[in-house]
Amino acid sequence: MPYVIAAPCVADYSCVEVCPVNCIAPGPADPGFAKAEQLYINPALCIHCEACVEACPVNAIFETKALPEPWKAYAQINADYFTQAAR
Amino acid sequence: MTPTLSPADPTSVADPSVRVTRTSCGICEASCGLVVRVRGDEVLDIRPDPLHPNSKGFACSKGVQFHHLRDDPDRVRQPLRRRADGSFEPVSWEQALDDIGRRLKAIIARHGGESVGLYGGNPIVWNHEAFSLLLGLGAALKTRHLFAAASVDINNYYVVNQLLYGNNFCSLFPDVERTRFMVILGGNPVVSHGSMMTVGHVREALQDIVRRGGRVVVIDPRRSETAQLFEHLPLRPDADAWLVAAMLRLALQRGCPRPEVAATLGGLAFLQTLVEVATPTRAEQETGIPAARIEQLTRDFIAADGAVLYGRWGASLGQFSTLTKYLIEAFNAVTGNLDRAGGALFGHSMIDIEKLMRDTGQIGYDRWRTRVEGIPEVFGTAPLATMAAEIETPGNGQLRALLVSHGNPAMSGPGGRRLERALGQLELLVSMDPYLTETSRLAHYVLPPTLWLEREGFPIFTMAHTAVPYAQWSPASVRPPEGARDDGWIFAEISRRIGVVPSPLALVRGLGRLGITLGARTLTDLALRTGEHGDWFGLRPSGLSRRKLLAVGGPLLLKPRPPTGVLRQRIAHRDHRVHLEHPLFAAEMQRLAQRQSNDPAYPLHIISVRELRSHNSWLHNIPKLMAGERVQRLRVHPQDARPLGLHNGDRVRVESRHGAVEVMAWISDEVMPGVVALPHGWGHRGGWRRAVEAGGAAFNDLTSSAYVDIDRPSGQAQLTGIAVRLCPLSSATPPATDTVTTSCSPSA
Repeated sequence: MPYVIAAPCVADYSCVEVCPVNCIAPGPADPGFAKAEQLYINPALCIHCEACVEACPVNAIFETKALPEPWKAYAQINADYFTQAAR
Repeated sequence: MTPTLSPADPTSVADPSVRVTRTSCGICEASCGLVVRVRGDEVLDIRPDPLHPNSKGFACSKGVQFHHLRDDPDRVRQPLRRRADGSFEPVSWEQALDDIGRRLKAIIARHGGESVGLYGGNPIVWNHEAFSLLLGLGAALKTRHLFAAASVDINNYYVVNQLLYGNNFCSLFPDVERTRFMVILGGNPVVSHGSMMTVGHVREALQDIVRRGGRVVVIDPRRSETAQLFEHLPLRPDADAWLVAAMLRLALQRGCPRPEVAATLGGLAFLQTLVEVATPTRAEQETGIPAARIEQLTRDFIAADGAVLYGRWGASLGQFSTLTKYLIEAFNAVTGNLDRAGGALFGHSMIDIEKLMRDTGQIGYDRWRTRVEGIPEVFGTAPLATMAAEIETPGNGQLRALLVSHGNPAMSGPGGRRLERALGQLELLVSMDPYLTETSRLAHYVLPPTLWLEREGFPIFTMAHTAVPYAQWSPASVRPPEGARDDGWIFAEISRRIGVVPSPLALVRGLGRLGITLGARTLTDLALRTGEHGDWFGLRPSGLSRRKLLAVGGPLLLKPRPPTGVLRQRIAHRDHRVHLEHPLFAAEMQRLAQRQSNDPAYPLHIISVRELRSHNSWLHNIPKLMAGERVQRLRVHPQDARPLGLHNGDRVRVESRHGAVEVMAWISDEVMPGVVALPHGWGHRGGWRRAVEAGGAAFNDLTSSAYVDIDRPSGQAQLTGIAVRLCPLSSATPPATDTVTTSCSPSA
């Protein structure tokens, strides 16, 4: 199952730098980065390599099924970011 | 609910060459618990501490990237002496301190200790030792030129706390965990991570209010990052006092306070008369909020079972910030929300800061006034707004020499250009700063201090308003670079060379003259050991001391939350009641009622913006925090941009009555019409190359330090809600209409 960025994210983009498939957005080059309070993983592209989990300095990334209870909704929030961006 | 992220011991590491310390962040008031891994002198990484009782595993990109500031190639690593041509040459600590001592002694011999000034910037608040020595050196010199960054931030709190509760540092803060209704006036905690309220995972904690059926209303001229998550009510800049006065008037008409609450308050009749002028019609006219909305908001607030009104930046840095803070406290008080679950709480700290500051003689208001402009002191300090006048104006007590610790007044003080010129006139300016900043580049000596990662300490001030009271005293996580020294050591060495003992206590100064040194750290430890949680030197073995906390190596939970029902005990006034009556507030209300807020030549109002990856003026040199081609942008509402022909990316000149800046426009309806918003802390000069490259302009060039422009009771500068006009400098298309009402002076 794909990885999900949850509430502790502070948009520190260390994950963007290590992601081998570029599935985390917005990155520093994307519009909206300056104002982004959190980043999102595109579940359609995530290859479950776990590189971002290690890189995240604030422990904000979880495998979907391991999401702590209050942050379950973040799986959908991550997915929505990309479907809305595509519109 | 904010779960513990990882129950594992955060300090456990397999590699024996790696040393792990648990500390707390020294950048912002959130003071998040952090875990630092070090090999030799290299910081490997900084991560949030999942077991910290208050921050609970939260940290932000500023804290976790702080080692890049430590390793910054632009960091000053040895004392520097300014040459006649403005460049700097390295000198030894001995040479620098000896010459500073000699020059200070000569100035004191000729003009007295009162000609020497001290300025403590915001970061010194996380360095209790240096902060005590700064206050102590001021006391030993008997100087009134003791300035603190609080006077461009929070002095209004300190005045109101003193008058209402009898202690500058008795700051009540919102019970976010239990409140049913929180009204945020001019604050943006989602980005700032909380100020004068230290709440872990603050965004989540605020969202939890809504999740449990409560409400959060954000009142701000800008749809801030916090406002976007909750109910937003736009308010005209610097109209906060009108809004709260009107809410108070309604509350008093609706039967507030209940008799048992009234018994805790003194001066209700005075309050009633004071707010009489704030009729719904007048309030609507001044705030731009419909009278019906104000009424509904007040009704809902009174009806909520535990509600709190919290005012910060916007409510703290207008022209009537003391009056505004007074009205906020009075509103929480009459609605029965002081000292109750879900309302405003008295903090509970490992060291009783109110007592510590009282015992060292700091507590007070208006015991003396500044030499030139006659502005009242606040906890023994003079406001930064008076610094330029004190340097410029000849006479006894003229400010001639200034020691600046971790501060950048040329960038963060009001009337920036005037202050910068004045700093350049000083006979001696010494700056303790890790960078060549707008201020330190003017100094005769720049002395490189240690940073919070590199010294022992704990967040003494933010502990006083922390949601979950805890105790922590952390060791230095890593050795400082060879040339850096702690500010406390620097103050002590300078004091020794001019023959004074830096302490606010006459007893300590007397012992010092006899050769017995009682360091600031020893005295802070003494306050801890003889306090509520202290070990009383072994009489209470379970109690705390510095040594014990260092041995524990991490934070300890003191209580799940601050206690309630302590109002009588915590109010220092003899009658133990909240004092709502003071002629000062009546005078301010009258001044507000007479204010002319519409200046047709300057039809817009500018407010400042806090950004996620900045902290005031000092984090713009870390590449990782500047990623994404960050630039400073002026937010302009489309309705205001159209008649000027202003488009995204256009250069625009912003003019106030006090100065002008040129910035890039960004058209956005996140600001209300008539309001423009600009991030502060940009427009760097000096030796921090990345920060200078980032460009932008200094917000404080638009501000003023003149007596007529500041908040009179607290001397606090007006840093938001300043009248301005816009003059487009470049535009692809001509203005859409020819009815441009503003006239602009020729571009400089």
